[in-house]
Order: sequence, then structure tokens, then C-alpha cells
Amino acid sequence: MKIKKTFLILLSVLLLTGCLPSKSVEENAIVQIVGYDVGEDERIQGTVSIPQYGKSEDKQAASELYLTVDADSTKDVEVEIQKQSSKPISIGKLAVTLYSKELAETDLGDIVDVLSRDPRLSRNMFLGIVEGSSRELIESGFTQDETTSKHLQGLIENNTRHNFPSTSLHDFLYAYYAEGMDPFLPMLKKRESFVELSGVAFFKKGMLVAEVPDTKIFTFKMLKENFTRGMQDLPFEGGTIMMDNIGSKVDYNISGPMDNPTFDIKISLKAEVNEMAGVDRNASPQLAKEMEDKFVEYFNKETAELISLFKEKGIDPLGIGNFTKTRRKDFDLTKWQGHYADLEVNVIVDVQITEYGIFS
Amino acid sequence: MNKLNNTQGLNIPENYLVTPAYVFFLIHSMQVGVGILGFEKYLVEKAGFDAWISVLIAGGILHIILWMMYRLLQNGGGDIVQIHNSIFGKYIGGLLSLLFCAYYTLLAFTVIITFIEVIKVWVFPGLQVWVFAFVLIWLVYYLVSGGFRVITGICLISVIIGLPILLLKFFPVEAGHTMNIYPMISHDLTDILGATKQSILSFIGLEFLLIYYPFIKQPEKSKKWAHFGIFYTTMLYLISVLVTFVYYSEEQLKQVVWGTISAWKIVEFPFIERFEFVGIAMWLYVILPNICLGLWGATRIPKRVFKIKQKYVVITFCIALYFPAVLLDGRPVIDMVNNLSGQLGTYVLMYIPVLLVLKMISDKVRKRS
Repeated sequence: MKIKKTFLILLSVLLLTGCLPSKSVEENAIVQIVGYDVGEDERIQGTVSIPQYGKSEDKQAASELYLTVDADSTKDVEVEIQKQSSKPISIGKLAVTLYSKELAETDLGDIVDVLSRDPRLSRNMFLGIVEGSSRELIESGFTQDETTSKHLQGLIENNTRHNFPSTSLHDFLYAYYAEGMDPFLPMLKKRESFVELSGVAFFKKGMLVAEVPDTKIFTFKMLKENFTRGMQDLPFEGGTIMMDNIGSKVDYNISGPMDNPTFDIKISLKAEVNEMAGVDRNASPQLAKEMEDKFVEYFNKETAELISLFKEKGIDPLGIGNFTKTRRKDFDLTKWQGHYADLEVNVIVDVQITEYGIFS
Repeated sequence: MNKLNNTQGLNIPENYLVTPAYVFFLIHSMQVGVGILGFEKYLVEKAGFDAWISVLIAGGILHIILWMMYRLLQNGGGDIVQIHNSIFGKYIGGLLSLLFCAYYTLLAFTVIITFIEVIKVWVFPGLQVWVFAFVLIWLVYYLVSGGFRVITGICLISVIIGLPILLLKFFPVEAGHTMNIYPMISHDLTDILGATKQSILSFIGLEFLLIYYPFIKQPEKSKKWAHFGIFYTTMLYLISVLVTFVYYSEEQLKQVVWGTISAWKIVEFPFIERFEFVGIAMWLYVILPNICLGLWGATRIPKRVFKIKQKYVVITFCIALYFPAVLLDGRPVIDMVNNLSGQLGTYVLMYIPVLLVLKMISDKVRKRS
């Protein structure tokens, strides 16, 4: 009896372990960034960067291997890259996926399907749109001590803590599939020696239809979510003031009948002013009041511009329709889309400047 | 393994009985299985984001059915086999009992193939099913042949191991859109009842009480524990549903096959980036009592009907389960088996009130004569 049991346990242990061949990190090509461009003959050009963890003495530089292939689909890119690689490709640690603007303007629908289907991919992965060629951006190797993927991942992540609204593969898919909501992605641009987050790209389903420059990102984030950081500058009396956001809250509300509703977006923003370059006055409650008014005026103008852009393009990155759907019984998507261009959206901004720094 | 022989009839010796409080674990762990990993999709297809109401209604219905089951068992003098025999006689009653046996087997089988599919899709696409199924069924055989008390122990362990996984619900909520669960009911009653039926499909499992009732010491005291078990399951399902509603948009959720596993994907720790692997591995402990109790219940019925040793029945059933588990493959087939067992489950639950009425009638007739 006892021998039988022991035998059973031992056999289970033997059978349950070592079922798969083990692979060490050095023997794998771990793809952490992929970029897609429009290739020749309606094909897709895919570029990957594979960090090389070699035995080399030189531990300082992060060396990378760049591979570029032409393929018929995004999954085919993986196959084609496998042909060029001496090690098995593993995409489980993919952290950033880039698409060139040109490609995004055609349609990302098929690519989205691949991303949502593959269980190996992380939902926290970042997607980005590149102004220009994503191949060039990947291959330029910006910093000496970290890989391109780490650099871009850090860049986007850092920005989402400040001026850029939160973004990830999951957020993109959420908006892509939702009724009355459209996705947006960060735009990246390569400068001579560095890369910067240059704006927001707005999508209608899988198609890039509009973009706004980085100066408007703060306003967009303010409309989109509550956040506690980020900065916005503003010309003021011949100089510039810089506002440091310490707490912005946004609240949506819909009123009126479904045929002709009114949408209110209430924003209350608490801020500090940390820079008053060229403003030749002492900080006083009076000055703060004037600055607040100036900011409210500025935000009113900016938000109105953004919302009219959204209406003109027929996109809804704020998810106004999605919000209405949760609040109204008689929500009908086609009707809503018909009304969307004439929808009355009121933005009420309230700015409160609480501090002026440690020097008056 | 000779423990199985001593449970002749319904005078089960005290050393094979379990205390009333364990009924909580028996009921709850049997209800939570593979269903909870992906039931949200089916609810949303029926009633959109109003489906959380359906979960509550389903929980309420189960409380009523449980109450009926206790009514049935308290003066039925034993288990389902006994009740069937007393109402329908030896032959028809025996046949009906064997239908229950088939149903219990199907439940165990559904859990096995669905879990194997989850492993194949999420973790090891090239899993050697025949090896895994062999080890799994061997483990199940080992536990089942240990008798009812061992199975109860597995239920207890499974509930405890499942608890920390609950904490993970925090991550999707943090990333989610809480406005989605604003209580605006935009679906009519038929939609909500349709979703209620779908939630009952994933709630089934309490009907095993019909077979293990004689193993409970002071069964009348176990009543509150059983109700508590169902209440806990309902709350667990409600939390799962609300979390997925917050995390996904409605149309997105309709496309996600395993809502709960997909939501685990967002959990990332510095030491483990893909938490779903750990989650799926831990889930083996959650489904293990499903298979064990399923197989135990299934094999106990032939033992009671034909008066044969349960050990032989268990061996036969293990072999009978093994081959289809290895051969059946592919989403459509597995989906079909899941739907079938869910359908049968609802019929079994609907059969209980009927049985109760028949029992009351036959009791009355017998008293008169």
C-alpha cells in the first residue's frame, strides 16, 4: 500500500516536470519593440530590435540587432524574422509597438485583431504612431545605456504621468470595441538626436483621421480624466506663466431628451504657478484672479476647438457616447452618431490658483 | 482503499461523516469551477451591462432550490437513490438515478476538457494531452478512492487557495471605467431572465447535495451552512461580473472568451510579468474538487443501485473519462459540451421542485392507505 502510494507520487513528479525543453535568456531572441511601415507592393515592412546579451566584456553599451523584413501580415512578420534570426524569436516581452502614420491612415483593424487574440502579449503594452518611418526611429539607438524599447517605454510611461492621458493596449482595445468611443494613441517623432512625444493621434475605428500637437495634450487630458500632474504655459501680459496642475477633476453630465441632449463637461482644476517670466508684478490675490480668468479663457477656447475637431471628424475619443449609453435607456448608436455633429457640448472650466511658489 | 466498502446502505458509520460546517465548502467549491473564468461573455450577450441583476436573481433562485432539496432530503430518509426508489419503484427509480449518474459524469468531464483547453490556449499550445489527462485522472482516482472525507478536505483546500486570487480583482478595477456600472436598467425583463438562465448554468453544482446528504453529521444543522455557501458563491460571481464590466467595454467583452483570465493579464509584479500563468496553475486546485466530487457522486449511484463495490465503478469511470478527454479537441466541441452540461444542469434544477411535489403526493397517498 505504502509503496504503491510512494510510487504514484514519484511517478507524478517525474511526469509533471520537465515536459518542456528549457530555454535560457541568452539563447532566445527577445523582441521588445516592433515597428511597422508601409512596404512595397501593399506589403507591410516590419522592424524588430533584439537586445544582444552576449559574453562580451563591454557591459556598458546595450547592443541591439535590428532586423527588417517585408511580409503580408503582422503575423507573417514574425515568420519572416524567424528566417533571419539564429535564435528562436520570443515576443512575450514585447513592450512597444509602433506604426508609421502612413500605415495607420490606411487601417489598423487587422493588426488590432492580432493584438487582442495573442495570449502571449501583455495588455500593458504601449502602442504608438510614428511621424515618418518607424524603422528609422527604432534603428537610431538614442541612448548608450539602454535599449530603444526601454527608452520608448519609459518615454511614454513618463508622459502618461504628466500631460498625456493614460494609454496602453488595453485602453486602445477598450475604446476600439466600445460603442460611442474611439481610440487615440501617442504620436512619436524623431528629431536629430532624440525622440519626442509630439502629439495625439485620433482614430475612427482603426483609421487615423486627426491629430493634435503636443501643446493641446494637456487640454485633452483634462477633458478625459482626473489627474494630478502636468503643466501648461500661457502668455500673460507680455511674459509667460507656467501652471503646475495639482489636481484636476472632470465630471460629465447629460441632460435633455435624447433627440436633442445637452452635454456638460465640468472641469475643476487646482494649480500652482511656478514661473512668471516677464511678468512685472508682485504675486497677489488680485493677480491670481486675473491669471485664473486668463486660464479659463484659454481653456474655453482650446476645448471648444478640440470638440469641434472631434465633431467635424465624427470621432469621440472622450467617450461621450459611451457615457450616454450608461446613463440613458433609449441610447441608439446610429441615431446618436447622426446627432453627434449637432450635439451641444458645454465645457465649464474652473481654475483655482492656490500658490505662487516660494518666492514672491 | 477498502474504505469504500463499508458504506453499505444509509447507516454510514460515524467515522465517514463530516461536520455540518463543511457543507459550506462542499457547496461553494462545487459551484465555482471553470465557469467563472468565462461566464461574463454569455451574460453580456443576453443583457448587456445589466446582467449583474441576473446574477442576483439566479442566486435567489438557487436559495429556493436548496431549501426544496432540504425539504426533499429531510424526510426522504437518505439520498436521491432512496427517494427515487420510494416514489417510482425499483426499476424506474433506478433508471432515473442512473440518469443523475450520467449527468454527474458529464459535469466532471466538462471540467476536465475545459481546463485542458485553457492550458492549451494560454500556457502550453503543444501540451501532450494524453500525458496530462493521465496524470490528472490518476490524481482524481487517488483522491476519490480515499473516500468522501478526503474529497471534503480537497474542497476546503480549494476554497482557501482560491481566496488570494480574489485580491487580484483590485488591478482591473484600478484600470477600469467605473461609470459602466451605473444602475440604469436599459434591458427588459426577458433579456434579464435570459441572462439569469445563463448565470444558473455557471452556478450549478449544489445538486450534489442529493447524493452526499447522508454523509453529513446532524444534517439539519448544515442547512445554514449550505445557504451561506450559496450566498458566498453569488457574491463571488457578482464581484467577478462587476469587475469585468468595469474593465471591458460592452462590445469588447462580447469578444473575450475568458473574461476573468484576460483580466488577470493586467496584473504585473516586478517578479512576474504574466500573472495569468500563476492564476491558471492555481486554478487547478479550484477545479480539482469539481472533478473529484463529480466522479464520486457519479460512481456512488451505480454502487447504490446495483450494490457493487464503488472501487470498480471508479476505475471503469476513470478509464471511460480518459479517452474522450484526450480525443475531444477544439473550441466548438468544448463549447458544445459546456452548453450541454449547462442545459442539463438547469433541467436537473427544474426537476427538483417536480420531485418535491411528487414526493409529497406519494407520502400522502401512503399515509392514507
